[in-house]
Amino acid sequence: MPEPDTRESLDNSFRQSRKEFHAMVGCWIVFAVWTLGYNAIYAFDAESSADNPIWGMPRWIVFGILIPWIFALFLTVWFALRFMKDTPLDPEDFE
Amino acid sequence: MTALISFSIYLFFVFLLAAVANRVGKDKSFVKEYFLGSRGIGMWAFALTYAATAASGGSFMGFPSLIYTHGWVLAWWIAGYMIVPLVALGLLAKRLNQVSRIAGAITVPELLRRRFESSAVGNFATLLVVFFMFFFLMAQFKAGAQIMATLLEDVAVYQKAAFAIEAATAGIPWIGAADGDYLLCLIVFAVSVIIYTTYGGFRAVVWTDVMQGIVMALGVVIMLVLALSQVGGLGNATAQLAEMTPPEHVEVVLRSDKPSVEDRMLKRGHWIPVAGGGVVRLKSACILPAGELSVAGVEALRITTPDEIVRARLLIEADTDVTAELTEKIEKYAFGADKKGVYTSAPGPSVSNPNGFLGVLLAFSFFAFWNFSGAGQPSYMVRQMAFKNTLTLRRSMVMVAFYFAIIYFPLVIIFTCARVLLPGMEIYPDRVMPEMAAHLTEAAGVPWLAGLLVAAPFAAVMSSVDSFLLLVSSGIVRDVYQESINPKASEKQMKRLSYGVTVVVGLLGVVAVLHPPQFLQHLIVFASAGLGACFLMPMVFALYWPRMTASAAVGGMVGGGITVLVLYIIGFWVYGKFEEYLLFGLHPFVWSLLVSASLIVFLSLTGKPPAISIRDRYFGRATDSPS
Repeated sequence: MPEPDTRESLDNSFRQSRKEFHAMVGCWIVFAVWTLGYNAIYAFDAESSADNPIWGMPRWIVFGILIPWIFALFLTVWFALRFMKDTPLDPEDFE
Repeated sequence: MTALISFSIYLFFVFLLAAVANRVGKDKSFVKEYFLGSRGIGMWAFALTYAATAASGGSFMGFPSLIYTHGWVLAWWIAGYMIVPLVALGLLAKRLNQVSRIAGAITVPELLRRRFESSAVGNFATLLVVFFMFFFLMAQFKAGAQIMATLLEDVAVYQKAAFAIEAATAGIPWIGAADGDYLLCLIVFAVSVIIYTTYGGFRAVVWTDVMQGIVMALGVVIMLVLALSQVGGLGNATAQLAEMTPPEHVEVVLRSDKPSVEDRMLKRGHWIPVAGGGVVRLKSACILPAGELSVAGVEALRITTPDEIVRARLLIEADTDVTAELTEKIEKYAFGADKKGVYTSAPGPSVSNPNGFLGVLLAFSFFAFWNFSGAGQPSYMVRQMAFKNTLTLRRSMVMVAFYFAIIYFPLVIIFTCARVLLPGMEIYPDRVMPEMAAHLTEAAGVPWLAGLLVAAPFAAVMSSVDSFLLLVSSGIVRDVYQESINPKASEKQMKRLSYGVTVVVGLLGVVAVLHPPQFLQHLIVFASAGLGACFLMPMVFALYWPRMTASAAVGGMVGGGITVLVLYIIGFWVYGKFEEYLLFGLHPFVWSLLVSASLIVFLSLTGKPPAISIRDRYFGRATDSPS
């Protein structure tokens, strides 16, 4: 069955929202891979987990959670203020 | 008492805001104002109401208890929050707001009903919102009552009132079985929230959320400073945690040197030295009968870390002549017993799970859970329907990102310090937050500050209860009564009914929570998972996929909800308690999303395509006709 909606037929704001949607899912995947990948390798060593702490925290906490958290914070700022676009919300404002 | 005064001042401001909100909304359409604040929510209000609703009793009561019980691994458990402001807010907010305006909808079920032009979709949505939201209400009521109980436990008037209530309700079925102090606090808390929510509506809820959001952030920052200074720095706390081994649940015989003339009450939480060395803490109150020298079968918690034993022995009352004798009944942790380093590494110690608290697959589940379940909560969706314009949304995302960063990671630090400062809190883990607030402020010589610190979790609970209360009542008033029973209801009728339903739903919540489950977090995770399972996928597809049909919406909602329910029922059957079943190590929420999405795609593609008019209305004007 042919898809009834062609790309051209969709409203501009809908296409912009969908683009942002895909980008957000991509961001989630990047940070999920970082925290889960790093911690799966380094977080399970009970014997040396508190050796050489950084800022008083176990190393795996810093590299596997705190640093990605800081990156995610800056990414959110950039995404919200630069990447996302203002679009009309009320029906009468649509092109 | 000073803590109680500062706490009362906080409550006064909450009521004041509700009164002002009521006045502001007087000239506007009642239903739109009461349930959606007339879609005029600005940046500060939107960001803080979103954040405050997200940071519920779970964040300030259940989460700290888990950090205390399992250690640093909770930072991984909550790590998904690093990207929540981007995903949970950004994923749906813009389209949700836009579509709700096109549809003229002010509730989530109404939006779905109009998007698919189907009453069945709206009715199923209402039913599922009311069902799962009720579990949320229960959890928040329990949290609110517990915080009040901790705050008031030393106040003489309160103790007398609690005793009187216990005596008065003793013969009443269901109610009489609840503790007097818990019952009193539950009633006071519930009545306060019901009054200001009923009186002020959505605008009051948003405004009080803003104030509560500020109180929460302040509370966390102050607690962080006090905790770090009292524990001797984070490095010291981590080093001590690395040496800790989990406690043991034991049964002891209590012996006294001399028989007492009357029954002797030993309170829950009492510290008792163990004959031959060590120390235990009583898990429940027990009575040493008059004339007796011993009592057997007493459940207690035995501390196993030498440094903790030294600190705990300082808490033994000086004049105690009771000692504990261990029996053979000893329950060690299923994972982590006698093992150092379990509190500073993954998977973290666990009482019941031999694989530990958090494996990689479960960590993945929660990384998905916080983001996508957050996006799928109707209480957040309603807020996303209420912001003024997209600039408000974009700026709010930045604010929420900073807000979550200063709330969640510091909470992990504070309550890893609590493991060092407050030994033996495993006997009532959900009370660790208020106990920590009281401990930190007393040790710092500023007991009045405990009022503000305890106001933080209280604010979290209140800001969630009011939202959920409004959501449930809007579901009943708008989506059932106005849509299906009396579409021509007047403003006056709607107003009366809204007030009435808000009060009745609140009271039903109180009755249901008279005997709540032990761990708050289980209720909250269940309700979040259920709501996310029912609404996330149907809403994502409804907003982004023009081909989706009404029957697919119903299938997605019901399929997702049933998946969660079934896996919890299996969990109850397997473990004998309210707990989820992790099929192949994954949380039920992940499975529910897969089931829900699959059903939506299958039912949409095999069903009749939606009308072109619906597609044009919500996705833009067609330039060509479908063939």
